Amino acid sequence: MDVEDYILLFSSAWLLGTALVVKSVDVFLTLSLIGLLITLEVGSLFLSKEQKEGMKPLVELLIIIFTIIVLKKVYEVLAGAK
Amino acid sequence: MEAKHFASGFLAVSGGILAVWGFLHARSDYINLGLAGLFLAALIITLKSSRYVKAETAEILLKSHSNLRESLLRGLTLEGKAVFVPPYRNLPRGGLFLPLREDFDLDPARFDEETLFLTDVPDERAMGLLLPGYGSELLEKYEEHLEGPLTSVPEVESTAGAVLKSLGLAERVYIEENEGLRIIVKPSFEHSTEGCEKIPDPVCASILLGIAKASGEVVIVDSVKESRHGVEVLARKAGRIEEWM
Repeated sequence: MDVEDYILLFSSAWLLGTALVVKSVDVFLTLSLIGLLITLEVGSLFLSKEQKEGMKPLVELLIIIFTIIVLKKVYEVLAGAK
Repeated sequence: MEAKHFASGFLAVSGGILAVWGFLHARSDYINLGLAGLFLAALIITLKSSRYVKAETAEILLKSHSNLRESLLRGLTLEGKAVFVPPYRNLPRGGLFLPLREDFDLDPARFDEETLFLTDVPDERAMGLLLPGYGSELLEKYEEHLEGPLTSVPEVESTAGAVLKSLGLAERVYIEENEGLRIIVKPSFEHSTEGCEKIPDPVCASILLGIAKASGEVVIVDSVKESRHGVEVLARKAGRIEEWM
């Protein structure tokens, strides 16, 4: 198995494990982002520039979703305080 | 169509259906599984390399490279050992100079990208074979990985190690710099080191050219031999290119 196979195996295990354990979609998306960031950081030594560039749109999409989740939570807290 | 396209296509379609079904029936566990399938599809298409060359094929290609090298060296009777020239105005990609004589002299002013046989020189000691940009393709990959130019020997060691491992060319790269340079490369496949001190294989050449570029100095190869750790190259720095002018 190549290093990229191990990276793919880790990502698959992380995503499937999270999807099976977590019930909330928000938490699942946040944990997916964390998993992808770990993969990108740890695996960056063994990934080519093209592979890293290819992963970036997915990470950027998840960062946007994470920002929306955080803003939603902030709004909920502020709305509850009124 | 390759296997990775089928796998990611299947995951994307089933993940999409699962996510929509979960959304319509307000089942978050199905939505999560569907999204996981979609993310995995994207990861498979991104991370799985589509083009592979069999190790045996690479060995055959390298065999013909070493045969060419041996016949070239036999025919030209070049006494000197490989001299790696860092990039400068005449040679923007740097290169390999193989001197005619062991007690050679460099005449960098006469080097250029078009010259192969350097014979039009006043001193016979400056004659030799010039291979402009030899090893520069892999060196470009190192700098692409580093996202900037190489500036130190430890940078060459870490980036070469990572890039060569990701390309499946070498397991490990180790560079020790004391009075001289000791470079150990553990290649992923078998190859002969015969004649490597004159024209190193592209992997060793890229590392040596990288050291020459990072330090801005000429690097002279002293010996290349097989050791229990891999291919061991002994080399030394021989001053900046301006000092040879």
